[in-house]
This record gives sequence, structure tokens and C-alpha cells, in this order.
Amino acid sequence: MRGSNYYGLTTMTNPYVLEKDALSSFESETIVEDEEVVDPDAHTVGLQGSSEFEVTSSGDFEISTHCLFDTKHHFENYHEIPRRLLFPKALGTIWLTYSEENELPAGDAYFLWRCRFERRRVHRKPLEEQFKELATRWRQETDGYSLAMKKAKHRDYRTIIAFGPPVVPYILKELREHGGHWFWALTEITGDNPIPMDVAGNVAKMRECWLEWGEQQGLI
Amino acid sequence: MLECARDLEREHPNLIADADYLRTSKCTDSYNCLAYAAGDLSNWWEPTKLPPYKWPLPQYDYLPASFQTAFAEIGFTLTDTCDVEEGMEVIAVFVDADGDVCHAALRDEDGAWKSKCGDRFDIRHSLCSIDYGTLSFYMKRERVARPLPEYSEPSECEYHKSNR
Repeated sequence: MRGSNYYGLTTMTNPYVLEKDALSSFESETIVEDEEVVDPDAHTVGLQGSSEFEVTSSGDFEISTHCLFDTKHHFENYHEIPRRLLFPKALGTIWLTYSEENELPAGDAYFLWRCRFERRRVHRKPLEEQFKELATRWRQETDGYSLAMKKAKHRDYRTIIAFGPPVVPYILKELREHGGHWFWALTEITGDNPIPMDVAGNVAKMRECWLEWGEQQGLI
Repeated sequence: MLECARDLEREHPNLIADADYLRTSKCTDSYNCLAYAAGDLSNWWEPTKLPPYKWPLPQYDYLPASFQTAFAEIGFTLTDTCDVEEGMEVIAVFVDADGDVCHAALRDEDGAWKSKCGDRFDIRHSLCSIDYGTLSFYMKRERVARPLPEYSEPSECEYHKSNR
């Protein structure tokens, strides 16, 4: 039976602070990099590690690990371990971990392990802008659909639903200003249904019910 | 021409050469084709419980058989022909590629077909000039009094003005 050794690197005891000022000036940068040549005495070698990041800004960025591994025989053909991405959405401390196990060809005396954590700015539009673009196209492309069910199956409508609770205020604003069959989306996202059966089908009253619900929830 | 009318004709190009084609109402999302076929211009009809649209039976799916049962509740019976007898009205029901009901058009004594087109307006048309999937079946019932919306061609669509 083969034995195995585990090696860890890039483990930080103190959080790496992702500062607000720094966030405003980078596009892509390496924040932690480590390289290690290890000399295993077994055929199977595991690697594991983690880094701690303290996020002090909710800027649009992603952190990724980017790891390479190879044995002494083919250093020029690094095996790239799939990147692990993390999109910090809240302030606080986050951990990014990795682990990998590799079986070494017989006779290999050592292998090289490189790991780099990097962060990259992600240029995302604000949610409201994304919502408006999707809602406008959805309305135009489903205007002639005879059934709300078919409107609700449209890809842009599904994308909006996938945004989850943060998009609800924008849906309610859209409902108030432009109408539209947003009932499906609101029910799917919130799990709620403020429409009593006695107004079922009365589109104007159905809208009023959701707008009242939004006011009660403090969303509009 | 109104932009919403151009959009409809782009989606149903056979309407352009259809001598029967005529817009007969303003745009609204207050009712849809199923409500129009049922004679209700105040509600959106659809077989869903959540969100709750209007539907005559607590049976919520889009299958033709379920639709037939639901419309039987309001006096319709299946018929093999779209010929309209005196005092009767006929609906033609369309299904999409999944076999689900997706549109209904109405024909009354004057012989013309009439449809409500989604959030847009009502039209008169030939049955073959709308592109709403495949014609599935006809149903008929005694003609009911139905409100006829007054309509004159506006210079601008009030409904779509705020939606573009």
C-alpha cells in the first residue's frame, strides 16, 4: 500500500488585508505567491493550504488561486490545478483554501509546487443597471406573448430571478412605473404571495397588492 | 405606424398582406387572449395558482385537455368545424412546440377572427395569418354579449409610451 505525505504552504496566520485604497488602483495583482520544492518519500503526495483575507471594501473583485504542479521530469509541462474563485460579497474575513492530491510516477524524487493568490477587478455593472437592461429587453421580446407563463420562461426574466432578494426593490419600482407581469418573479424570489384569490387576474389590483407589500417591507 | 404595431407585424408577417387585418383596441395588459375568448376584458386568464390569475377551475396546467375542461365550465363544447352558426361563437386554440396551449382566437357571427395579442391590442385577422404555434382544436358556445372597445388610431400608444 502506498503511503502519502501532505505538504502545506501559503498558510497565513495573519489575514492579508484587502484595503479600500488599494482596491481603487488595481486591475489585477498577485497578493500572495509561494513556491516549494518538496522531496516526497512516497508515490502519492497531497497538498493543502489556505490563506486568510480580510476584506475591508466591498469593491467588485475576485480572488483566485492559481496553482501549478509538476515533477522534475517535465517542468515545462506544468499541470495547472483548476482555479478556485471567490467573489467577496461582504466585508469581513474570508478564507480561501485549496487541496490537491497527486500520484507521482515511480522514480520521481521531488516535485515543484507553485501557488499564487491573485485578485482581479471585475467590471460589473451596478445591479440596477443590469436589471433595467434585462427588463427592457424582456418586455420588448415578450410583449406579444399571450401567456404570462411564457413571459416568465424568458431567459432575461430567469436571470433577474437569479439575482435574488437584492433585485426586489428594482422589480417593485419597475412594477410601479411601468407595470408588467412581475408577479412570478416576486413570488419566486420572496416566497410570498400577497394577492388574495378574489383579485386573481385583475392585473391592476395584483400590482397594488405587491406594491403595498413592498411598502410594508420597507422596500419602496 | 405605431411601434407596437410594427413589432406585431414583425412577429406575424402574414398579417401585412391579410385583408382582414385591423387593430381594434388600444394596448393593455389588463386581459389576454384567453380572457378575450372568454368574453372578459377585465382580467388576465391563465391556469396558474401562483401567481393567481383568473381561471374557471382549480386545475392548473396548460394541456389542451385541461383547457377544454376549463372552457366547458363557461359554456364551450368541442366542435370539429370553425363554421359559425347563427347565434354562436367559435374559438380556435393553438398549442406551442411543447404541446401547451399558448393562444386562443375568437370568431363570431360576422365571420372574422379576433385575437388579443399579448400586452398589445386586439386585432381582426384571418386564422392563417397569426403565428402562434399549431392550431389544436375548436370550441363553440352560444354567443354572449361582450363589450366592444371603442378604438381610433392614436398618434402614440399610451401603454407603450412609458415602456420603451
